[in-house]
Amino acid sequence: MSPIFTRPASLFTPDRFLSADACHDLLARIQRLSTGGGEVSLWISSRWTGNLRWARNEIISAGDTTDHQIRITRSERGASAYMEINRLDDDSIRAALAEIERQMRFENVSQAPYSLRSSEKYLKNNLWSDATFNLDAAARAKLQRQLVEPAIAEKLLAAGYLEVSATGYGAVNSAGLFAYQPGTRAEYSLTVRNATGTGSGWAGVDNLDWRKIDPDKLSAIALDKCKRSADPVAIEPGRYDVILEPQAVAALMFQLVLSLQRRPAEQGIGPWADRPQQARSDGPVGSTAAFGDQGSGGGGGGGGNSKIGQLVLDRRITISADPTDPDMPFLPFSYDGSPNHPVKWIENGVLKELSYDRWYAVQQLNKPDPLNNSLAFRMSGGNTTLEEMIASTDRGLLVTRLANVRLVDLNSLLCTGTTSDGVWLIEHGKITHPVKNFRFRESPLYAFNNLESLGAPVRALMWQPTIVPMAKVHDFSMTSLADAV
Amino acid sequence: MASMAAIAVGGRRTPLGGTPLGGVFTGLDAYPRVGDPQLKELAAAALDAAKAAGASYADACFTLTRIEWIRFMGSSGYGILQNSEKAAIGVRVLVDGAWGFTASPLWTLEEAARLGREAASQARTNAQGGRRKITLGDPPPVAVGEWRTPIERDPFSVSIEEKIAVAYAFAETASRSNLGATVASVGAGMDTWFQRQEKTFASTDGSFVSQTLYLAKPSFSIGVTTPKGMAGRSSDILQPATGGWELVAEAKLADEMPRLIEDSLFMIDAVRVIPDRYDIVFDARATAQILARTVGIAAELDRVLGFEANAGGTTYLAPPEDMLGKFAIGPELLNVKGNRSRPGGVSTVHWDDDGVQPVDYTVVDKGVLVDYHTTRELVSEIAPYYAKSGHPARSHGCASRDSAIGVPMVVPPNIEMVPGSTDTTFEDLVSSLEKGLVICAGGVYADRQQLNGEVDGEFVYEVRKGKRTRAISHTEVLFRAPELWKSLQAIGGRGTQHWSGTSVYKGQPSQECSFGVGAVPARFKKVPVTDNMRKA
Repeated sequence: MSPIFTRPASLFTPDRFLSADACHDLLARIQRLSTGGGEVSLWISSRWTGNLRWARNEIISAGDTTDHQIRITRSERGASAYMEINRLDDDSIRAALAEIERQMRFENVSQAPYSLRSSEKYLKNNLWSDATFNLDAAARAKLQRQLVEPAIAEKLLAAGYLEVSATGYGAVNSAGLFAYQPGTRAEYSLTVRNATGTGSGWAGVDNLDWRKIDPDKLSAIALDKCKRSADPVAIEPGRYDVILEPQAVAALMFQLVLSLQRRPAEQGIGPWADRPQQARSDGPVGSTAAFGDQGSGGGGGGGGNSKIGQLVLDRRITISADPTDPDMPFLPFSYDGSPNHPVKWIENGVLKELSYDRWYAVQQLNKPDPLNNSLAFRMSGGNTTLEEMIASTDRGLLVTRLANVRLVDLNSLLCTGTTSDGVWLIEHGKITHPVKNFRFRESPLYAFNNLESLGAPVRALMWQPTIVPMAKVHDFSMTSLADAV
Repeated sequence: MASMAAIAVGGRRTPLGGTPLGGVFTGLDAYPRVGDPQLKELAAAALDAAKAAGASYADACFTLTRIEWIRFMGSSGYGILQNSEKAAIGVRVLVDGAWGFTASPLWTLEEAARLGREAASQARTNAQGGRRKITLGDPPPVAVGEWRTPIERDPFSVSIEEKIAVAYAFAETASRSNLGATVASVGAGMDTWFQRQEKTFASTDGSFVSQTLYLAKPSFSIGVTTPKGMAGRSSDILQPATGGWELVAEAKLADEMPRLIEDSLFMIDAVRVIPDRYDIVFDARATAQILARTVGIAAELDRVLGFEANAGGTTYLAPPEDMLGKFAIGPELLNVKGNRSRPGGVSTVHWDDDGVQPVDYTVVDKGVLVDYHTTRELVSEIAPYYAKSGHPARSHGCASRDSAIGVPMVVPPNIEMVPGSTDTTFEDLVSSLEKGLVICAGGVYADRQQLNGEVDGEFVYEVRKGKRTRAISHTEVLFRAPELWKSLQAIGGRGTQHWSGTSVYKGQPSQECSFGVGAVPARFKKVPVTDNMRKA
């Protein structure tokens, strides 16, 4: 075994999460404690988090926590079973292994027709920032006092969240694989509301490096949006030219990225199936839980055609993910040690790739490796500014973000949710007044085929690194008023 | 996570030679369990360190959380989607009116003391410059003791063989019950999600309580396939509750299977909804989900105060001074109570995460909002209201967290819609419809103030002159909470109450908070209904 990553110097002193050496030791102990042969693999996610939360301009909670996710998988003669624990002592490990043994007696012997990964080469990137790791409780509290001052001065109410974390990720196994990499993440978001509850503004972003987040600027944006969104008027639902700010684009496009799966597509299910069968295109009525694969596109083989190679979005749109992207690097390996490769899912509007797991790769595609979808993504942009988008709009809406987005229809990717934290009416090239929130019903497939213009790509606040532009689209469907603020 | 879960999906009963191992996984002995005196030592280490560091108050919580989630696909396969046991100790400390919190999975005296010291240090830092000084008011009566959710069988002491046998037997019963529809195939799916959480709470007020809490979120669904299409219905019986393996093993699913299959066959011929305003009868499950959001979640005091503004959202039931005792959510026949005492209720505990023994209380009285869900920290915010109404400003005992890694927050208790005083049945309500829709089960989604929402019914049918005529598909009921409740015309009486549960994500870092909800069927007048696929 040869560790491919060494830990940064700053990790030698505080023991806030598991280091490479600790993961190495853990694997050795688990191997030693395992009896009865077979292989052992571990997925380790060991995380320290420091956070601070405030509301009504005052700190309401804070935390410094450490937790581990140790997923132990044992496999033998094609059968495998697992358990997740967060304790590292021998007795705990023994008990977990005993539980796994019991499960293995009932596991399918044909589920893992491939051996464990033994040695891999991964793309090299840096996911670490000392600035993030060193933003301690005192620094966070000091920042908070500074960040709420403008809201206090304006007699507004700020509710914010600042979180820094450092995680040791490891995919290691008894066949010789040892992948480990530490990473940091910083997140800042702020909601500013007025005292009467008629105006609300939001801004937020995440980055591995705290220094790349400008909390003062974000706070100013949230405050400005709060003031400008106050006392909105109701206007008719309908189809509008809509300028979606990056956070709104990210929320909608995420549903598309989530759906980029090859297996269901080749089973005739979902948005990427070519010539979907009629019975399945409608899907089951009522509860779908009993249908398994047929209802949700789960297991089973392929055989059908996907839309790979077809034009599916406006030609100005490319959706890609690259672990070495300097603006949004992410882990170069997955939980099973398989590498995360750079991928262009959609290039100039054409569907190029769909993700598949290792089982599908081996069984259906005659390939050794999966094509992982980490859910990190970059969407290409343009050079239109917000001012230009507004100026070119005769009658339309400017939307800050979309909340509670959920899928209504898998085949069309029709989604619903509400606008939130600032919507404004644009008339004759100018913002005229704030309007009440809407419930929308729209698909990223439709919206991003109705594209007017794109802005410069920027980071949005999502679970995985995400870069998207602001987008202006036409005929965006606002179906009803949802007048919560 | 979906791809990770898929690893185990498809498991079959294929013993690798020999008989299955005996015994069961009952927990890891390396860590002290409920009742072990070592827990007191650990708690004392944390609390003493916090006090020595200047804490005016501190509490330590230990959780040992065992979860198993199995998905059974008919009678031929299953997958273990979650199989975990995690330990945590969380120490919360108040210094100079500000909170500090630390948590870790490591249960040692040294670590407990470190957590106490660091939480105090963090709290002192947070207190600097703060204008709001957190006070917890008078301490609750000192609580000492142990409590355990009443169960018959610990789900983690039941072998996988037995679980498979029970699940497959249900599926086989379903597949044989095709009601003579020779062209239909009937399938079944079942999930068994069980959590056992051993939780110990100790505070500098002197409380030391240990609870073993069992939470179950099982589900069972029927799916019918014919040449014309597919349709499915989920069980009314297997619903979230606190309890043990008996909830699944003794579920009388066979009794409801004919109805679920009949409903499913009926749904295959469903016609698309024509958007309009309809008189609607919601069954108790659908009403419960509406109630859960528009009253259960909406009446959380932290949302009322804006604490969730940057996370789960605020609420339409604010500000308190305009709402409590004044705001009519619905008509007089809407009465809602909160409790954490109902046997089997998802929220049922003996002590909350403040060490408070919860009390039963009224949330909505004759349509009017009269109370919120409270904790020790927040109840003082509405003390003037309580003083005016002659009630003590005492926490209702709604502090909770999903594990000791997170801080306690306000979580709804078991929310109960009080049945009508008559013997009105669901069938009575349906037959009272001249022309309308009946909506059974399904999902309810609300905006960030729990104000506007939608109901995606699972089983929807049209009624004319009191008779079921045809199934309706693609319905989406749109509502604005107060308008919906004000259109409430009639509710089910004694014997129509149905209990289930739901979850809400809130807080930063986000926690999943589960709570129980019981409701009765209800008839509403002229509610807007649209086609869920129709755009503007």
